[in-house]
Amino acid sequence: MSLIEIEDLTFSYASQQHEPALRNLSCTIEQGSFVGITGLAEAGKSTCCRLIAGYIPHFFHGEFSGRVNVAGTDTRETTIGELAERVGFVFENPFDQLTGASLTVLEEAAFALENMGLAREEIRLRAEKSLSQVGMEDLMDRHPQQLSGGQSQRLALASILAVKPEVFILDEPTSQLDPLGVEEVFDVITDMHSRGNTLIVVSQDLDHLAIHADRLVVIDRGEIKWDGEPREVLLEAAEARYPILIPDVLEISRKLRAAGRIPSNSPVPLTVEQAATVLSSIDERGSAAQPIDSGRTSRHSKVESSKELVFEDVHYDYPTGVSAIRGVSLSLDEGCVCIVGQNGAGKTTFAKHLNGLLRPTRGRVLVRGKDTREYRVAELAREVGLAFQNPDDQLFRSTVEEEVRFGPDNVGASPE
Amino acid sequence: MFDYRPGDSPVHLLNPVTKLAVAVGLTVIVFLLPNPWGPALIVVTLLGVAAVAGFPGSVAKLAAVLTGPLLIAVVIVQGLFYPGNETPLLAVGPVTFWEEGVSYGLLVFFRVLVVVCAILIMVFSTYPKAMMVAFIDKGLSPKLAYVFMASLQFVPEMQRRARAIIEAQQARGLDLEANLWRRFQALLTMMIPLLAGALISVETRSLALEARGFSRVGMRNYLIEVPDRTTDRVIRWSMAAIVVLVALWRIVL
Amino acid sequence: MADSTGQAEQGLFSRIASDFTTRAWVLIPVGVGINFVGGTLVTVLKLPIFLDTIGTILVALLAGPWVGALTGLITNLVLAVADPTLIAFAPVNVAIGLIAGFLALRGWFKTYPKIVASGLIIMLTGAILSAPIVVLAFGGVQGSPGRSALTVFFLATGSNIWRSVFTTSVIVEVVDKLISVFVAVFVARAIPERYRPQKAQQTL
Repeated sequence: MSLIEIEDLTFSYASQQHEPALRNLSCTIEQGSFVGITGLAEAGKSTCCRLIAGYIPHFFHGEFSGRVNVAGTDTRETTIGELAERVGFVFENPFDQLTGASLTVLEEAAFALENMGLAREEIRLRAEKSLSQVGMEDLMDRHPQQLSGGQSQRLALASILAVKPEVFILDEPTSQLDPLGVEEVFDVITDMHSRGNTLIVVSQDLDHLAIHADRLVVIDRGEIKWDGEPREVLLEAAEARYPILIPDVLEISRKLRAAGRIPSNSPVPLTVEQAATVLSSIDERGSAAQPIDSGRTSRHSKVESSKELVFEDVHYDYPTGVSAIRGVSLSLDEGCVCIVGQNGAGKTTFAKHLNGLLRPTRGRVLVRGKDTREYRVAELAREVGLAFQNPDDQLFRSTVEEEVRFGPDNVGASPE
Repeated sequence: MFDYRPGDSPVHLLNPVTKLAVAVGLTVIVFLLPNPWGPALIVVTLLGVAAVAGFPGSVAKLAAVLTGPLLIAVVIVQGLFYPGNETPLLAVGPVTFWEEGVSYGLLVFFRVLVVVCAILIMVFSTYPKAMMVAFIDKGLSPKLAYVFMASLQFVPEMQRRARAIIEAQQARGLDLEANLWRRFQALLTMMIPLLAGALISVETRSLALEARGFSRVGMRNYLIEVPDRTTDRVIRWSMAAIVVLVALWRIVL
Repeated sequence: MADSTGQAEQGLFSRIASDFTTRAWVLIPVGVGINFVGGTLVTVLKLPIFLDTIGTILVALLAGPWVGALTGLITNLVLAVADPTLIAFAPVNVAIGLIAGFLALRGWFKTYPKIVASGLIIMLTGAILSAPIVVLAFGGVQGSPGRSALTVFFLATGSNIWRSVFTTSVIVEVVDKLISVFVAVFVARAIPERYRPQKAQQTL
């Protein structure tokens, strides 16, 4: 018997009764497999996950027909809490899924174990072990609100690992993470798979998913469109010009094969390494295999004195004592300038100086000749537009038009 | 915002339930006492306890900030308008401060000060999670404990989100010095995304909690252990006895 | 609704318990945070109101009177950690949650005139309950110097302490509570239906 059996399942949410989220879907998942699920937005991927974890029908109500069996139990005849000891779930938003009540990472990882009523020593041991499994043993005393997205997501994984469920469902675990966070999380996922855990991972990030999963399912409008070995599934999807993001390596390899540049008897390369191996074996047509390295060396753009924007020996210390900017002097003219740097390098602090949200502790900033210390942010907003990282913090109006007008209205511009 | 100061003083080692019992007992006592001297004496004692715990300055400073305005206002209000005013104390031009009213005002002030100091000592000397575990051991519902802890964490979190939204708005020309109507409009435009966002996050969190046994009935156990020693029981029973004695004294005499 | 007939036969206690779904529990910290952040925003914007009960009213609207009342209680307990005097006003916040919730269940948040009436009822409840606390525990004094000055003014014009405190409360809070109620309703309506607790179907 398979670990998970979905039989002829049709489900419509109570809020969208005429539009079934899943239609006559059948699928089985074996112990120890790593199943990737992908598809377009609203295709039914999350619905699938919620069914296996019992969130449907126990939390999300609607019209349900068919059957879902997890480890021999019909999900309709149990509760979310009981199923949770067999099915671990990681959600998309890294922060919302933490309990919000823990003061340390260790307490967070122990939450489920505390509720299970295990002995105190076992709670500690299991929580610590699962934290080290996700590489967070050094962060056990950290406050959960001080974690990065990737760390937070790994903590969510650890707190589920501690429960030792039979299957792990990860519903878009990396879509809200920065590239570093994505790598961290996929490293943990592959490690878990190699230890024999059963994994179901929903993701649009096929670059990562296709390499690690041993089976890829594409869901389309509530039905399974393709289901099989990731490479084959993606090749078929690419042939059909299906609008999912085919990994670049595969797409290039496919075109090279179509053009006869790669032999059609060998498997199409999926990873950069595979591609390198295949391509390096083709010696005479070296031009195709020429590494597309970062050809141009980085060029320091020469700073010219100009009056658009001037930083003069700017220092900024946060009230906490952290000095975020130390002695920055530069001037910028028209054009596009990119500021790059690692997290915590001072990029945001720098940007907030541009419109006076922050004012230098030492030195001065001139925006078109205006010293930011002498003008209010609202006045500088006429000169400097600043867009922030989190779109939800910035958009307030119910229509796009109102939203666009908000800024100009505030600075007193005419309707045109 | 829960300003816990780690330490290993006798005050830190007390069971949180004991500290709460003392705070409640003192509150009852000061409201039974008829004049400011008793409560004032208790304030001095409490500052001594704070000194033992290692944070007398912090307690004194915060208590002063919190109750200072009350002292001034209550002495004025009661000193001038207390119904039992008979004995003039001080005349400033046309206004007269009366002895009875000033005394009552000081009583009110010291009562409040006792409660403030007792709670601040409890907060400063107790790891919040330990407080919850101690209460759960005494029968508090784990769900209530969760809600208290989560609220404690959510308040600063909301504050952070509010700041981010204000900054984003300022970047788009919101003027904090603008006229009242504009600032009021700004308030609404900030409130809705802030609140709606927080409410939408509720769905994920409830599922995540549910999946981690939040609704599970049956025995629970906790990572940290909060001992309830003989000292604790002695202090709690003594406190109860003192409360009863003071009550009897006030009612009988 | 199909189960509403069954509900009438249940005892009060189990009816209250049925309001406390996991979603309701999770909503409470959010309500507490909103109560607090309203105060932050008005401080930054230098507006002469408090907006410190929007969360209580909002939760009462979404999840009923009992969950609203608990939100009020927890708010004052949590904030007491930084300012212990707030504990004394916990009963006021609890009552606001209860009243707002019961008004909501009876449809008093559905039309504008009724929302205004609800705001006034909530304000009066708050004023009536806070008066004894202010008079007996704080000697008639509460909050800002401006508020105390107003109480002194009423005392000086011959009102007794009870009437002075009550009148001060009404004057200071009438605008505040009306605005709070409207913000709570706007926000509750702005939440997409699928994210609302089931209770909200009766109230909005």
